[in-house]
Amino acid sequence: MNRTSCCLVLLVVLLVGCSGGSKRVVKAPVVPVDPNPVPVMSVEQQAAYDQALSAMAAQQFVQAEKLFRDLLSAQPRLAGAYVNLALIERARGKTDAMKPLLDQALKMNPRNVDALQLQAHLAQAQGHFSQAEQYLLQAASIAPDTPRVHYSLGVLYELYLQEFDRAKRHYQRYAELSDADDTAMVERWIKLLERK
Amino acid sequence: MGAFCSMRWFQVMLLVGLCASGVAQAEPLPFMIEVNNEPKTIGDIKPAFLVYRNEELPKVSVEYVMKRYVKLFENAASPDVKVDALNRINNLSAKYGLSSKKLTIDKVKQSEAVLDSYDKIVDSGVFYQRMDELLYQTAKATLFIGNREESIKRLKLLVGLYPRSALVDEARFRMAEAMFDIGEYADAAAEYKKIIAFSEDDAFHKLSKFKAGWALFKESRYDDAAKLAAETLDYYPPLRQADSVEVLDESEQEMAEDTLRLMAIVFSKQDNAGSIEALQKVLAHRDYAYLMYDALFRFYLSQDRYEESASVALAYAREYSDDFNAYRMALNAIRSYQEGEFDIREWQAKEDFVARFGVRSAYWQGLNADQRERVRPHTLNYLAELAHLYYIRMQTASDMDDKANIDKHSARARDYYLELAETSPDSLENGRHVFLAAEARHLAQALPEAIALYERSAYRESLHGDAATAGYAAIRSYDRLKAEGQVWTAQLATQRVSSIEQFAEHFEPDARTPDLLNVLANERFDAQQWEPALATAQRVVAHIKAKPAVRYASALVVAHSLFELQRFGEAEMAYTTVLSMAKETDRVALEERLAASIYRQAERAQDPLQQADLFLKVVDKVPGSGFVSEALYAASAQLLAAEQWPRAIATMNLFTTRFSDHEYRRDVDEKLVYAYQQNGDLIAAADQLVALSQVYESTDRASAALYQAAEYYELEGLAADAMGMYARFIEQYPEQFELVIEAYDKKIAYYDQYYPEQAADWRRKLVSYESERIAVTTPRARSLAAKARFALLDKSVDAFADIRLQLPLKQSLQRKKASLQSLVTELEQVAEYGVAEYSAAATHVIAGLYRQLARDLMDSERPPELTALQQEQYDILLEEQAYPFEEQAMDLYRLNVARAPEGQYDEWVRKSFISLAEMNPTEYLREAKLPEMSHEPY
Repeated sequence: MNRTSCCLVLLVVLLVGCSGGSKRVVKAPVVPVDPNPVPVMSVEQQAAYDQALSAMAAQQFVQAEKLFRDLLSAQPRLAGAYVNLALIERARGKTDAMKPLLDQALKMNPRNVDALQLQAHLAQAQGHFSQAEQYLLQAASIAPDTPRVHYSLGVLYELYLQEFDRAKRHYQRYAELSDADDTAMVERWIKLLERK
Repeated sequence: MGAFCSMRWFQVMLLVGLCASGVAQAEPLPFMIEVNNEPKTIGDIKPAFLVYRNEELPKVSVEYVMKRYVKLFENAASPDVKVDALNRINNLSAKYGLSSKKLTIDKVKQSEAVLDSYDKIVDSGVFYQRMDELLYQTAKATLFIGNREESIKRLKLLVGLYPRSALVDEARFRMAEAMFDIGEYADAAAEYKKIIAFSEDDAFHKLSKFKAGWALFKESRYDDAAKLAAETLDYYPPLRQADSVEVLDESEQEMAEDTLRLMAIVFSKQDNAGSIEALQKVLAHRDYAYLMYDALFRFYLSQDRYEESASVALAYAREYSDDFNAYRMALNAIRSYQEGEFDIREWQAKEDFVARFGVRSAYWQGLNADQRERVRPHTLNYLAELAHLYYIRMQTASDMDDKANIDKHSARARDYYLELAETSPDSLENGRHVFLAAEARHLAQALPEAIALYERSAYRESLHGDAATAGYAAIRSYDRLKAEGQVWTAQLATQRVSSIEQFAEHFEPDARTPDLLNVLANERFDAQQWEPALATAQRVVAHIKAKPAVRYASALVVAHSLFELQRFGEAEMAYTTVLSMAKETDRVALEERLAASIYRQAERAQDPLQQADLFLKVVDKVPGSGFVSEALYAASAQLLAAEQWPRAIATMNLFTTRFSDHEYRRDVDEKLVYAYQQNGDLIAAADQLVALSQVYESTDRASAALYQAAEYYELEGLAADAMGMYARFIEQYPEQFELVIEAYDKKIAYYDQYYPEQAADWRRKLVSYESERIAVTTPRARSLAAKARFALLDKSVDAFADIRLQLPLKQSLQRKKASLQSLVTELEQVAEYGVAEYSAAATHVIAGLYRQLARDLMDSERPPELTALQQEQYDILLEEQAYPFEEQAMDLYRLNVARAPEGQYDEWVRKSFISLAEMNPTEYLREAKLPEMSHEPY
């Protein structure tokens, strides 16, 4: 074991990886502005949208996808439809197909919080943590009271950027905002972070 | 003048109009005289009536009337009637010039009858108031019948008896005349002078003066005679300063002319012109100078005394050189010499004439316009004759090679021809005259002067038949000047060019024009005056009369000039044209120029494709040209630039086929690789690279070519060939470290795919190769070596996992720990490469080994003989053994995840996150909270 310990010490030296604090200066997010008016949907279109959501909830992804695409052919600026199409692809395990749809969603509405959060998720999975951070900060600036945005920021800061103070703040905000039953767990994470 | 006419004698006038003879016809005439009634007196003879019927005049002849008067004279009883009848007969006779032959009356008989009648009257003693008249008539009748002395006697009687008679002057005159006739000139002269002195009536004065002059001349008193003659002329004031008697009325001209003739005779007896001048001194005026000289001239000429006549004329011309009529006298002199055939003097006179009266004379300057127009024709005439004369003389001298006279006569001919032109500035002949002047000077070898005259004739005179010849002669004279080594200056050279230009401009249709322009074009080309040479040569080529050889020569100048002017497109066309008419001997050089023209166009073209087309045009149009290799090379370069890969490849292959040993061959081969590569034909590119790798002197280039060839084979799916090529590369170029490393990597990948069992071999070779060249290693080599080394541990890791911890545990644990130790050592060496990815990998694998060991300890075989309590204690012991390994594993995983904030989030970091989440979910398991669906449509 001594030998093993020595090796570990050596490894620590060789494989040094910094878990540094949160001294990094975070670039303030550019809060997107949507220059376009909100598209007005007809009653039939709203009904079709709702029908698509129902199909999606029932995992009837083919039908849901068709409904969303039909809507988009009539109303190309429905960013929510693109987000849902991306989520359908995620459900199908086609993560790579998500990004173009999310890009399109943000093109139609740069302030779509769901699209921003999903983009952050994809960026984080790719190891593009700063990019993920920017998406999430934008989302938080647009929808500061959305608990899952703060949750996602907490995870990003805790695990991947290892900026524990920031992680703690966002977890706390999540705990404040969320009415989910996992807030006690999150509060334990906060305590763990306080010990780091 | 009829000297015997008397005014009184004719004072009775015939009252009838006279016409042709003829008897009255039965038909009444429109105008007729009633003659049926016998008249009593002459006054009775009058028309009884006139019938005017607008018809022809009555045909009554003068003979008929005369006969009537004769009959009256013969039959009348009254002396008065007889006198009147006789007067009328004489009057009619004088007026109509009737001879007695035409009359039936005989003159002598008539006069005798008259005398008889008058004698009877006188003898009768009856007083008649008209006795003086009767005396006069008898004197006249006496003279008529030839008795001059008797006639004079009767006239003297009349003068003596009737000094106050109106007939005295005439009687005295007739008396003088009769004296003159019988040769008593002194008496006659005296009588004439008396008339002049005493007669109050001047009717006989001028005739008397004239006759007195004659009489004195007869007495050889020339000065007096001349003076009297001059005084006679004074009666005719218009004659003063006149040049002809024609200034007088016709009736007076004869008298004046007779007077002048008298003077001429007088002067001829004396000192000719000298006498005229002497007389004028006496007269104290020169009013009649011309008339006198002219009269004397004509006098001599009429007598064929040409020298004298000419002498008189010339004397006037000399003495009165300022007088306008001087030229006339000079003409007279020439005329005299001509008629007398005094050729030499005639020519001299003509030369004098031209000198005295020509346009260059003071005389001419004093003339008014009208006068000049009178003199000019003569001047022109003589100038032409003289010019021609000297021209002929010059030619004769030339034939005899008499150089002195050639020049002399040439100069004279020139002078006359030029003065000829000067004399008549508007003449259409002037150009020819100046041309002849030029010819004259040319023959005398006065070339500069001849040139100037030729050019004047050709271009500055009215167009004439020899104008073109003159222009051409000017140019030929320049050439002769130059050829004969005379002074040839830049100015002359310029003038010659100008002369040719003028010729071509003025005589464009002339067949000589293209010849001259061709010479000029070639000269300009030789002087590197490209633009002028081109313009000139183009005129030749376009000239319809250009001879083939001339056209060809100028076409060459056109083409060459265009080339020199860098107007290569036009030069190409020009060379193509000239090649169609080229001589065989010229063909090769011209084809080369054609090729060069196209080549230069290509060089100047802006678009690469256009450039390439033009370069290839060189090859097509002049395949044998020396430009072909360059053209092919340049075309391929442009085709490459234009990304026309197939055409570029074809062009370069043509180059390598035709010019295999060309200095550009290596470059073309390399470009071929590029073209093949760009065209997607990598196998061809690889073949080309292999070939190049064998000829490159540079190891770097040869090895790079070979390696690239291997890559292309590999890309094209020829893996076996590629692997062979990589192996060859590793063997052939071991010092090409980076490429050898890559080649090893290629081999490893290939064997991993097709022969995995052999892959480890190549990994070891790579690791070994890299470790032996640590001094030259690179991050890439390190990475590949680390990767290889890491991969070599796969089996050992699997083997470690396969070591089961069995009873007796001590032995199996010993074996497992040994395996662990060995693996950790190997993995530490992987980490020593310093490659982040493989450091993380090694860390993760080591962590995995510890975690595996901890797990294997917990799963190890339990001794069967243990009681439950012992088993529980045994498990606690195992846990105590396993826990540190787990802790160590987690610490290593944490090391890896700590790489994430630095941006390392590779496969091994990600795996470490997963492992930590499994081992410590509270700290590392974080489920994502993502929207399940977006309810907001926008």
